[in-house]
Amino acid sequence: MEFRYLGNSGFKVSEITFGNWLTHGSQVENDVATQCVRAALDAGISTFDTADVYANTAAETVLGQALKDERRESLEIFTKVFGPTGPKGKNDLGLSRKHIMESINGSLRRLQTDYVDLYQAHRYDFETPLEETMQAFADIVRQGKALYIGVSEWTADQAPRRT
Amino acid sequence: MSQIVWSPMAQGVLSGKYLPGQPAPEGSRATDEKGGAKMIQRWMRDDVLAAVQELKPIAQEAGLSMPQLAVAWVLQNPNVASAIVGASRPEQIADSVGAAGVKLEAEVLKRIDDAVGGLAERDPAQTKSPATREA
Repeated sequence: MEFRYLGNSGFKVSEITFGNWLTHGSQVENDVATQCVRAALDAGISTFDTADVYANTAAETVLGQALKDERRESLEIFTKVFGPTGPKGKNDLGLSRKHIMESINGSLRRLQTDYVDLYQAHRYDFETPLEETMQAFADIVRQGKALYIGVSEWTADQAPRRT
Repeated sequence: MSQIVWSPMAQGVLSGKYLPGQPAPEGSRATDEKGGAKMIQRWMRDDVLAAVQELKPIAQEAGLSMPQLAVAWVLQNPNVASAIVGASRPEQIADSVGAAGVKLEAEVLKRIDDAVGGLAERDPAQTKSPATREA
């Protein structure tokens, strides 16, 4: 396996990431899901990508279970926040401070880890000021619950940049 | 800012397992509601599936499987940090990782572009978030 830096950070990821969208907690039975994670580890994949919304949180649980005996420092675990989860109540979605601060805790619990390496805004949220979202992300990083922050399906113009 | 690319195999369509004018194989994602059969529908068109078949000799000559060619193509972009692959069977992972470290020659990349032609979406403005959270 080869490894690449994520953006202009000093953080390396395997150039092939194992993702569990549509499979874990859904299309694939849990024992096969575990075998697939094993195969990924055996092949040198160290980076794993999931999201709270995949299979309405079940995908994170399956991945957490499959990785729980691995050395945490040898893994890069990515998850995401935005889509409606759980009972899908009025604050169970989006990029408000409330949902981000609550969702990260649920993700960490299900993934059986103290932190994720990359926490990603799964979509742009037109209903929350960008400052609110970024402040919440910054606080999560300061708390050590996530090490890096990313965005998914945002346009180049929506992505925050240093000015 | 680098990119982590999802679905480098277009939900499995670029594996070449779906043939134009023929029903999807049993147990494949296109037949499985829980595996995102709806998501894959956008690619399940005869013109797309026929173009994908044209990639087969290109993969073969490059000594790669079809999934490997798809993932390797994504990894040729130096701004890509990683390509995300999924699997419903462990053997699929063992195959996909064969794309790591592969260098595709300019001539191979050109043949791929020619095979795919106008079917490829190249407009970055097509990357969109939904207008509302519930969408």
